[in-house]
Amino acid sequence: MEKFDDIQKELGGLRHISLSKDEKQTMREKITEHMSYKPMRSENTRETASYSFWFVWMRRPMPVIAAVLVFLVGGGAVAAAEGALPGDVLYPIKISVNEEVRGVLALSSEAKASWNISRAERRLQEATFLSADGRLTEETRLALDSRIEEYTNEAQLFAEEAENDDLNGNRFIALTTRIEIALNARDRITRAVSRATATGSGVATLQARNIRALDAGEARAPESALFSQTMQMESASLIADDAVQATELSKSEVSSEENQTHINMEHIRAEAQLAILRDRLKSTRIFTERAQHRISESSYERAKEEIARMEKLLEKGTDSFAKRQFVSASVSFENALQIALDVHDIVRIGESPIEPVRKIELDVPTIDPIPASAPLPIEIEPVDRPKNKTRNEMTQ
Amino acid sequence: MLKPSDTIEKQFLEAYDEYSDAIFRFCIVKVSDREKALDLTQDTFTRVWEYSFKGNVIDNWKPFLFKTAYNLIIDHYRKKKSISLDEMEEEVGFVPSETAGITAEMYAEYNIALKKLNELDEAYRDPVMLRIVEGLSPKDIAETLGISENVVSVRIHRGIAKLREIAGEENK
Repeated sequence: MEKFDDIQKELGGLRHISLSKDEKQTMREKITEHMSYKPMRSENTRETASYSFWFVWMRRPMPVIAAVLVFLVGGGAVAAAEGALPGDVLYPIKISVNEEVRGVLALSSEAKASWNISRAERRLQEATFLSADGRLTEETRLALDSRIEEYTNEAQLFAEEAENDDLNGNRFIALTTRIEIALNARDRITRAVSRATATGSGVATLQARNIRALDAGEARAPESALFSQTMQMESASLIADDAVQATELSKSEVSSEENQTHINMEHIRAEAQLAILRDRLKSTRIFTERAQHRISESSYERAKEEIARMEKLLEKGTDSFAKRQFVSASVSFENALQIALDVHDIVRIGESPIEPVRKIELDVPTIDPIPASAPLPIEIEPVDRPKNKTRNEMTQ
Repeated sequence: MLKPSDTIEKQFLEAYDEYSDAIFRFCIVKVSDREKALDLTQDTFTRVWEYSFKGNVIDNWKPFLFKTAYNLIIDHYRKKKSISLDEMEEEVGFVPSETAGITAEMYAEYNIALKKLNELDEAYRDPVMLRIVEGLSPKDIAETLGISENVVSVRIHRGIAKLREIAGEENK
């Protein structure tokens, strides 16, 4: 009879088959790329989130327990749960039942991308309402931010999958525009990044339109010098300057009408912005009303003024849209979306609302570039910036 | 972007470097198709990463990777309904389309080993291969195949006895 060692040796011949060096390396690169789409959250975020009972529900959807809850409290709870916020009794049903069921119904990559964006928007809205009520704790903020990051990452992945599956280019742009807006709002609402460093306003947003740069918080488009200087200015009102700007843009549009692809892209982009802006306007009104009792009267009035400006920009953008001036429409919608985020700052700061750091939008570079040698059309006070220390100075 | 210092990422990539050949080998023996085995190996690692990404902790990467690969192989055959059992049996005696740098002698040894393994019933084949070729413990094999540790031990014992029996008959 053959010895065990002999059998082991004979079967050991199977070990001769392995991945070739190239196969192993190529596969490693593909897997690493996949990992970069789904990066691990920081340990800090994980630990903090894990302390919250409500977010344990969010992190590990428990359909069985949720089904039991639905059974106990009745089907009406499912509908009632839609308005629930973190900390509410019905919140787990909203997350583990309502949203999971809707997620299952999204079959195509495009639908999955769209649903993930919607989930991110829902978390943003929850953060907004909690903030209005003064209930947005650091723990909840981190947990919501982590969710938003996850959903936008997923959305981007599915959007790219959909594009690879020959998704219509316009629909891809609509998805990426929504992701861009959600990420911009995330910066200001759940990450509380200052306006000066957040993307999404004026020039910075236009530069950041390459959606691939959006998944990494660090990979933000740098602000141009013109934009930085513009941020320092206190000048005419947004509406008046925007009107001038829109006129310039309209001229640009006339000259670029031949470029049908570009027009289509701006059309789709403006359309996606409009849909979001309508929702954002509604939620900003609710946000302000809910926050009224806990902020000073002047802050409240200021927030109301900002909402009125949003309404005007919405109206103006809608007019431009109807006239097929899609770039102008897009700029108006973008400004209005920025103002919605400014309202957050006003409420957050409460009794000492900040002066809006930017009242005009100069969106010229991508449409009608100003030659570097040409004087700027407006006078700008030079900005004093701290000089970089020399090596010698640092060592002293 | 990934940071090399991130513990889970590092562990995962180390697991890839250490076990990807074994997972690929397991897949190729089971599906008899190099390209498919490559896909299954890659899927195994991406699925395991997604599992980690969702916050799950993996204590022992090796059996977990084998278990994931095994489940993907089962899915592969479920999807491939059109293939008959006979065709599957025929496929098991396949010839790899690409030898990936192995010598003729190694290739011959591989075929002999595969032939030996395929003489076993399927119930014994997987536990014997995982034990003898890949060095998994009975406990890890049990986890991979979703059967009890006792059943694994019995199958390994009987599988080896069967191989000895066949070898004895061949030597007569």
